[in-house]
Amino acid sequence: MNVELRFLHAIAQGTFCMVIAPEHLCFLALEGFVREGGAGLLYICGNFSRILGRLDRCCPEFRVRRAFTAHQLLAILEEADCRLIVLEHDPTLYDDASDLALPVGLACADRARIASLVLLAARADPALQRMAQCAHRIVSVEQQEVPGRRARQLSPLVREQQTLDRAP
Amino acid sequence: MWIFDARATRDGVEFWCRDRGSVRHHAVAYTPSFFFSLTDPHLHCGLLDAIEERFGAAECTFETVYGPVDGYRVCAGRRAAEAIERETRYAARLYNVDVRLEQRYLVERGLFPCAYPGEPRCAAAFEVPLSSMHVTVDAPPRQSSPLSQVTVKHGRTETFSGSPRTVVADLLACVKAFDPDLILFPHADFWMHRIAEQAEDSGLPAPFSRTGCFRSLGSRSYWSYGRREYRPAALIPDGRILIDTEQSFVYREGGVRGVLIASRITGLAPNLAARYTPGTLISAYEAAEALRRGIAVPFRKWDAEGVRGCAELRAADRGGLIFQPDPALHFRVAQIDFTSLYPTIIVRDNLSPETIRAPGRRGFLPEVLEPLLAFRIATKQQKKSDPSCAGIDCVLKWMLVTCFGYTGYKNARFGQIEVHERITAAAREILLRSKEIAEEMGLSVLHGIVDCLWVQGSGVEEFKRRVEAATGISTEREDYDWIVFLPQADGTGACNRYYGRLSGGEVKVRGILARRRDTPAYIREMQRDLLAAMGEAAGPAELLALEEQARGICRRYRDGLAGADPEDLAIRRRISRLTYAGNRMEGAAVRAIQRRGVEVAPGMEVAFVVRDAARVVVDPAWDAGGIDAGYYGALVEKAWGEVAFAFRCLHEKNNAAIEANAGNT
Repeated sequence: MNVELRFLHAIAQGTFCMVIAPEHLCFLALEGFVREGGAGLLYICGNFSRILGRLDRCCPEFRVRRAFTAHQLLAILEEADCRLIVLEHDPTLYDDASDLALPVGLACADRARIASLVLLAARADPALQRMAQCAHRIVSVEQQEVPGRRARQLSPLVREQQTLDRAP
Repeated sequence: MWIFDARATRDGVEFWCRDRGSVRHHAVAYTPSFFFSLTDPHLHCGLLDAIEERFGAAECTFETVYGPVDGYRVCAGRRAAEAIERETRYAARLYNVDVRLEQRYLVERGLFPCAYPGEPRCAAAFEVPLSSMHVTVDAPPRQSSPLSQVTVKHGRTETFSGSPRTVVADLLACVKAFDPDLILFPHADFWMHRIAEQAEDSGLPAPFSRTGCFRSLGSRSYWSYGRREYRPAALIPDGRILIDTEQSFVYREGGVRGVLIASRITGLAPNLAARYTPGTLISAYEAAEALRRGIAVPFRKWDAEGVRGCAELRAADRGGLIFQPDPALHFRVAQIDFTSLYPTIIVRDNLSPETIRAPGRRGFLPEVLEPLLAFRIATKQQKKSDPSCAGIDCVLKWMLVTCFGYTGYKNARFGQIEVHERITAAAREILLRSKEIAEEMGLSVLHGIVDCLWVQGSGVEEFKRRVEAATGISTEREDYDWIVFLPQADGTGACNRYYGRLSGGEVKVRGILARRRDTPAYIREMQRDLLAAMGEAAGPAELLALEEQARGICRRYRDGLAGADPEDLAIRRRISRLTYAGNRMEGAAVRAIQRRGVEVAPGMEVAFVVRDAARVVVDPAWDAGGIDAGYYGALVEKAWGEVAFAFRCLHEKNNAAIEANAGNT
């Protein structure tokens, strides 16, 4: 496995795992999940996925559901019946429904009883913090800033990996 | 009984209506109820018992667009509904929670505002038994403006001037004496707060209200079609229609009859219909139609799109089709425009959230849009002989335009992104098929964008007929003597920037500086003068002969720039936020206005004059401290460039013809 994807080892069956990592790592992670999960994978994203569009057009087919509201996300989680769910965090879902971040977190944890659920997020935000209360594991991958470069030209080097194991 | 105002109260609803020549006020008791359902009611036994005990919740089956649902009916308001939502951790699906009470009351009794009993709702000709008055404060709507002169028109014109106390007292006395049902007042939503404050300070009754009470509508910044908009807070008087003629989109587009038709169609009081956007109006119309059919209106948007394959999603998620034009000047061109294309596709193809997976049944959206579409097609015809229908036609057009966009809106109660995608897919097919027909007939397709095509050649009427036969959608035809498609920065044709002379002599423009909202009035005026001059020419020789005159107009405006009124050089832009990254003019304008003690909010329009473009220094339009002549000179050149492109094309054509002739000899 690519050294940058070591954190995927932390994703265990039957857990709700939250991965906060730079966008290119989230993309690499999704590629890995697609290869492994294939038809058994359900990818959930918002109106505009920052990751999905970057996937190679020849990648194996997998199922996608889009949620444009937090209520739709709750409905999708309730209906999901596959063994691997990858949820791309969309903070805009909580813009006018901040109260729903915790219920979504609870629904993720509930769904993780019968499937592995991985939430991918490029950066932390208040909604994510509320959902984190329900996560079994939180993996946070940060980038090392290279002096003299602008923020968007960060080195892809992984500075540290943190695993907060909350599994019972 | 002609209802012209309605409001919800704690115990029910109140109405004001015109009845046999007088105004009557009715108050009726009305208790709202809502429905909810749970996927696993056993998980919530305790809560269900508590609701039953407190509100008398009853088990029932209710209709939704997806079919009947088993659930509960609760006679309580929104607060109780939201408490149920929280207690069930958002597992409860709620219905009929946020439909306006007065709208619901009217719908349940088969009534609608602004009509006599028995009148058809969708009719362009109807009686308006309202007495009206025009009120104008003779000052710009700014915090610093004095409330020292007001003009009132009600048959005769009266002007009240003096101290704010005197002016407000005189105005209220005039309103009381004349007792109008309808007040048309530019910037009413700004001035009413000032007038109400002054009235209170002077111990006068609440202005314009027939009960002494107001309803308040809060200010709001919101996104609409990718643009930040702002709705100012409004004080709405009881028992009287007050329209802010400057801020009301519906009034601006449709006049009084436009506002009244929006009220009839949606079941909302005219005071609200005048203040809502077309999107909110179509949403209210759909909610009213659902209730009329006994269908519950969902409170939250929980019905997500179905499972899609990754490849399928890529293929489906496209917008409208465009055939990019070559930047050029063309003569004898016809534009074929599909009438209400997207709503027609919804009706024709039976597209609705519930028919995506069950196409056999008649969908809710096509059923409710069909009469609206038929009404619009009829008024579009009618306005050709009766111009008084133009306002109604315009409001219907906007409502139908937004009904398509609304299918993709995340919070649309009866929307679904798959419906949106199918509509655009059908529109692409229609445009493609029309292009094929044109080419089969030997016509040249110059340009095409979503719902219209520009073609050149003979047999256009036959082409129009064949397109209508092939698609089942009616079209409108416009003939141009000449049309200019402008280039983009990269030299290719711009799809939304063109102008041309219609066969009737009128010049039609789209996307150029004369049409843009943010263009300073001075520049707009210059380009309009240029186009008016060019509009005199029907053919190439006449057009070429006008070049010197056009250059003269440009010179006049270039030379007059130094003496122009700074207000005419104001750039008007809607601000989407209060702080901007980088050194942008919008950000500089916000700071300049705030420095002068004026509050701004996202969605507001700011007007500013550029003092130094290089250093991004701007002043509010009302306090301009000089202009950057270089910056405005460049704008003059840009406006001229768009027009001069036509002459350039003519010269190139002439040169090509001369060269061809030289080659032949």
